Parts: sequence; structure tokens; C-alpha cells
Amino acid sequence: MAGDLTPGQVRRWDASAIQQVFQVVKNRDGTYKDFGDTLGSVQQQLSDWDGEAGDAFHQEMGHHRAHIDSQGRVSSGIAAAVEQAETDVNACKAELAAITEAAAKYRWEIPDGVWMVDYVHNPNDPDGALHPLEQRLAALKVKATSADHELAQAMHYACGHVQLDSHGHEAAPEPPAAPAPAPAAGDYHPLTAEQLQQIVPSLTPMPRS
Amino acid sequence: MADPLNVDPVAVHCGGNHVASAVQDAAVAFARYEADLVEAASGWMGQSAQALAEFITAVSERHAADHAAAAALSEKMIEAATQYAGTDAEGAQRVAAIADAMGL
Repeated sequence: MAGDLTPGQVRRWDASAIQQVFQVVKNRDGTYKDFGDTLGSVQQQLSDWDGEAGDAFHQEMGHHRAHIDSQGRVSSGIAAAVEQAETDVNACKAELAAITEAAAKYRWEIPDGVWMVDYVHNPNDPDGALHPLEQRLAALKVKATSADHELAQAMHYACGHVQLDSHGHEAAPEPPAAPAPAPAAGDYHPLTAEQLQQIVPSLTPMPRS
Repeated sequence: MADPLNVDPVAVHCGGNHVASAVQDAAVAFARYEADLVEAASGWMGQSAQALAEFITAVSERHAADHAAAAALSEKMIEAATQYAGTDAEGAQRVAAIADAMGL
């Protein structure tokens, strides 16, 4: 699937770099809070400034403060996703290292570019180890891709939070990306009326009373 | 008719300088954050790396926009203070003295 990570990318993935970005976003929040506080104290000192110019000043200052204050809250929207991503990245790297080590016992390799066990140097599999390793690798690919996707969603949310629209107004960010737990078997998902009608075309919706 | 003098022009001038100083401090911090984000990006992979690149672009644009807006506000405040002071000789002298003391 397009957008899937490769084993090489999982090897180069750096959980500390994810934490580093989060720390920058937190520090940036702090700078914006300080900036907003400064503007607030200046406005407070000039609270008796009225008249046409004073009103214009207070209106403009209020507008700026709204923009500045909104930027002091970016990190909280991505904190959970970042924490989960760090855990997932470390787990994926550890699992890939373990699979690589297990494969090396048979002189098999996990190439950087493809999710496969390369057994060209030793086609013999006396212990039946190949298939379990391939299964672990396939599961790892799914986990790594999912972790990457969740983190990307969180950063898209953060992106929406800092962007201004073409009129210079705050662009409404997408809802925060909560780490989506895998649906458990047996989860109930009610059908919509449209889906039900596709399954049983003879059904007609009841008129609303 | 011009507004009556509703505020101390020195206070407005000082407020404008205070905002200008905060703008400069924030600009230094913003530049550092942008550099730190670019540095960290090398450890990111896949779709999230692409999303981070978009975030860095958005952050840089936002920093520039907020910097420009706050800088313009501080300039307007200082300009307003000067105009107020122009109607008040004593105020003008006080503003000039403050500005001189600040090396402006």
C-alpha cells in the first residue's frame, strides 16, 4: 500500500526525535503564553485609554491576543498521540531487531526496502522457522504503518491549529487525533437505513410520524 | 474634532516599546524553534514525516504573521503617542526625553 513504511525506515525511525518535536511545541506554547501575558499587561496599563484611538487600540489588541493565546495550547492537543507514537516506535524497532536477529541465525536477512525474509543465502529451513518469522514481519508492518498514520493525524491536527485562513483568521483545526484502538471482535456497529436497504432492497423506510 | 487627551502619551509610547521588545524576544525564540523542528525532522519517517514538514511550514508562516501583526501594533502605538504628544507640548517633551533615553 502506498504510504507504508519500509523496514529500513523503521530502523531509522527515532523516538527521541518525536519527543524533540513535542518539546519544541511545548516550548513554543510557553513563548506564546509569555507573549500574550506581555500584551495583556500592556493593555492593562493602558486600560484608561479611550476615545477613537483608544477604542481602536483595545479592539486590535483583543484581536491579537486571541490569535496569540490560541497558539499557547497546541501541545496539549497532540500530547497523547505523541506519547503513544514514542511507545509504538520503540516497540516496532525492538520487534524488527528481534526478527532480524532470529533470521540471522539461519543466514536470512530482512532487507531495508521490502517486508520479506530474504533466504537466498540459505534456502534450508530445518526448524520450520521461516513462516513464523514472515508472520511476525507482516504483523510488524501493520503496526508500524498504523503508528505512522496515527502520528501523521496528530501532526495534521497541530498544523490546522497553527494555520490562518486566507483572511488571516484562525483556521478551525480538525478534532484531535485520538489513538484509535483496534475494534474488538464482536463490536456492534448498527447498520444505517441505506445499508439495510442495500442488503434487503424490498425494505422501504417507515414514514416518520 | 480631535479626541480629548484620554491617556498619558508616555504610557502609550512605553507600551509600544514594551510590545516591540516582546516581539523581538518572540522572534528569536520562533527562529530557534523552527531550526529545532527542522533538525528533529530527520528522525521522522513516512506519512508522519510529511505531516511534520507541513507543520513546520505552517509554524513558520504563523510566526511570520504574528510577528508582523504585533510589530505593526507596536508601531501604531508609538505613532499614536507621538500624535498625542504633538497636541501637548509638555507631553511632547516627555515623550522625546523618554525616546532619547531609550536611544530611539
